[in-house]
Amino acid sequence: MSIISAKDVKKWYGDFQALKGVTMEVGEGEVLVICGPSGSGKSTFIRCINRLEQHQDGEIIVDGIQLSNDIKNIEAIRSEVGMVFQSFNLFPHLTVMQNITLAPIWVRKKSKSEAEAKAMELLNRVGIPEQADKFPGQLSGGQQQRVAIARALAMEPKIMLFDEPTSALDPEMIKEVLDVMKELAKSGMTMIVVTHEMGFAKEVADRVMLFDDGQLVEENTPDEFFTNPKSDRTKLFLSQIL
Amino acid sequence: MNKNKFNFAFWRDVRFLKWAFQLFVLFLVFNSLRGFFSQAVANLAATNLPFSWRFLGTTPGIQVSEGFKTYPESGLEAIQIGIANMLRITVSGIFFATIFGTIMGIARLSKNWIVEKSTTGLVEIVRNIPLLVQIFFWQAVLISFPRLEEADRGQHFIHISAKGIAFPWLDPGESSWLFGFWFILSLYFTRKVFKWRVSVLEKYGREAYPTIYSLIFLIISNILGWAGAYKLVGIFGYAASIVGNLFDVFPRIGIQVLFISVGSFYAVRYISSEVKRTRSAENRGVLTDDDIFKLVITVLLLLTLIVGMFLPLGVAISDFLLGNEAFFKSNWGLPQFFQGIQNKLDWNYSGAPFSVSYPEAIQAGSSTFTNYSQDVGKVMTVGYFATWVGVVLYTSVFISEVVRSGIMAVAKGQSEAGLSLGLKRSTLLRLIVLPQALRIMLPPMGNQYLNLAKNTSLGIAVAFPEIVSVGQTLYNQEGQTIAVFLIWMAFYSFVSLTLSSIVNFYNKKLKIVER
Ligand SMILES: Nc1ncnc2c1ncn2[C@@H]1O[C@H](COP(=O)(O)OP(=O)(O)O)[C@@H](O)[C@H]1O
Ligand SMILES: [Mg+2]
Repeated sequence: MSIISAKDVKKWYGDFQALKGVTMEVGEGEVLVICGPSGSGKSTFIRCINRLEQHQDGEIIVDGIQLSNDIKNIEAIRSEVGMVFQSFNLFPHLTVMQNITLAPIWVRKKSKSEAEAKAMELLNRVGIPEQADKFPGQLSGGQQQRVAIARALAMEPKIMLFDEPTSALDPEMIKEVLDVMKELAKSGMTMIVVTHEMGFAKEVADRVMLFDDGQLVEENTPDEFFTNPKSDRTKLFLSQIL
Repeated sequence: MNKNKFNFAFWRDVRFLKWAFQLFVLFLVFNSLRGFFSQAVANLAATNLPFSWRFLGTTPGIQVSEGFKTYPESGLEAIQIGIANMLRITVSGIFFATIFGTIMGIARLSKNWIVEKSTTGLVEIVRNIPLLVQIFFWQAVLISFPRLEEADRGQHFIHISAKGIAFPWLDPGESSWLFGFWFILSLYFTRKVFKWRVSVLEKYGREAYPTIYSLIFLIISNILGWAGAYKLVGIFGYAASIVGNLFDVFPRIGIQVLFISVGSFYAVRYISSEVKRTRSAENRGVLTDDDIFKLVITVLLLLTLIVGMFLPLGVAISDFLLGNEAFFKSNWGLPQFFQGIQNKLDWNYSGAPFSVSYPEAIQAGSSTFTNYSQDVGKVMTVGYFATWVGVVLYTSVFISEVVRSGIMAVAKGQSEAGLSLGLKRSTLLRLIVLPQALRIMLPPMGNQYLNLAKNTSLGIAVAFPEIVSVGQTLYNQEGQTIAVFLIWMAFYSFVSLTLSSIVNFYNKKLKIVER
């Protein structure tokens, strides 16, 4: 059973077509890595999945709900789909604890104590329980990104989207974030990860996809993708980044 | 300097140079001020108009066209009328300019083409025309209305003529102050109710309807208040009368205690904030020479104040404030001040706090002219209208810019993060975007408020008697130019400092913690 299915999704920014008909499925518990050159539409595509961007043609079904302009559907899907951004996007005026408990309290209507207990559990899971009362501005980039992951997980989402979560980090912090993501992948979370961290793809991905020029050019198992890709475009891409 | 590990002359010691320089600057400033002042006083003396404050106590024989009184009994009272008029425009102007400016700022961010373009057009026009010209324009607009004729006599609901805009107003009853105080208290407690419901929501995670609860509380408490519960506020009046009596029994001590306690309060607060700052993580309790200088000066100033209050000069000041002259006794004396409060907040008062009165055009005195009655309704005079509309519109436009850039400056990623968590748009705006936008907006907003306050002085151009206009009339009459200038300076500095300290206070409160 697929939890996300996209059919012939198209998206234009003015005259410019960013997605030229993307069709794909993601199964429950599957970890999917998307890579591709900059500007190929990776971000646009995963942002369509929680409707931060609206596709103009084709259909996207997430957890049985068809994405449309119905605000109730959109909010329902957004609370089922967590997202982690390249630039963290933590709320700078709130403490780490408040960042994590905000949505559970206001969207899930959890009690504060319940939300805080859950938040502490998540902070333990991402390895920074001692930072709960700090403000985001007081944390390192890697710590901030781990808080962002905890914040998304606090909504107990069925799906997690990652848009280049380690691209803005210094090399020594990349590992701490990837470790958290690997642990998450192994716990059975459905994940779509846009990343160029090929080690991560090899280790935990079930499938790897290559985007180019708004299209899905290759879809393969990690082994095949790296050792025996189907398309020349993938070979070129791999030769550039490896 | 012998204890120095390194041996060098004291005049090359940075610490010595700093102190010497500070003292030197202090000396220069003090001396040049004294020079200016004594020169001016000497010049005045030479023109047979020696510098004096006496005009504050004598009847100036001028008429002020509007205000809480038309024929001031003293120069001081004339100034007070001007200040009251200035504050009337400033306070209501700040209120409305904030509302209009916020609406316009949001409209300029609107995705609706017509809304966006028309607001932007308005902003461009208003921003590019000098305020003085705009004030003249609004004056011309109102003056172009028909004059008040005999045919207009009688009661009206709203009436516009070249004399101004007349509209219904609330007539205060004897209990109006009691109710007003009650109303302010009810606002305070409404806020508490809102916070309480929010905390319930956060704590137990069930919908707790903070807005609805607080609205209901606000309405019910004020219905009760109107019906007579305002009498409870009389307790404050009673307390004031006790304080007033104390000042009556110990007049001079009262003033001295007041001055010294206010002075000590600020000194202690300043010192403790300095100490706290130096103890903070980055300073690690190290006092720099600057810090020591500031602390020493603070303590010295405080000592001067305390000792000074008991020296002949201090005694003279407290006597002066208590009043050797009648007008100080009636207007500035603290016993009278507190008894005045008791007078306004007496629990024996009863009846409806306010009643509505409608404007009326009547025969003006014994003349054949028609004018609006001073006793019923409210008249917005041409001068007030032109100044008010002028400064409010002008400031709104700048505030709209502040609001627009404030909201735009909150990174797009913030909304996206909030939305991706499933927050509703209203929640997102309230908890994520606005708190951050407000922080960005506050300092420039404070500047706009200051500008508005200062721009009210243009009211003089349309004969609106605010403090500058009244002051000018006064010195034309009395010749005390310097004294009036000093009053203006003191007043505007006071207003500016008050406004900016309010802004600073909130600014500190809202500051985002950074690494
Ligand atoms: N808001 C936007 N307006 C116009 N063009 C956009 C916008 N967002 C993205 N694009 C364009 O769409 C293309 C795909 O962008 P994106 O999905 O961000 O690529 P990727 O994440 O693969 O680097 C790029 O050419 C980019 O310039
Ligand atoms: Mg991208």
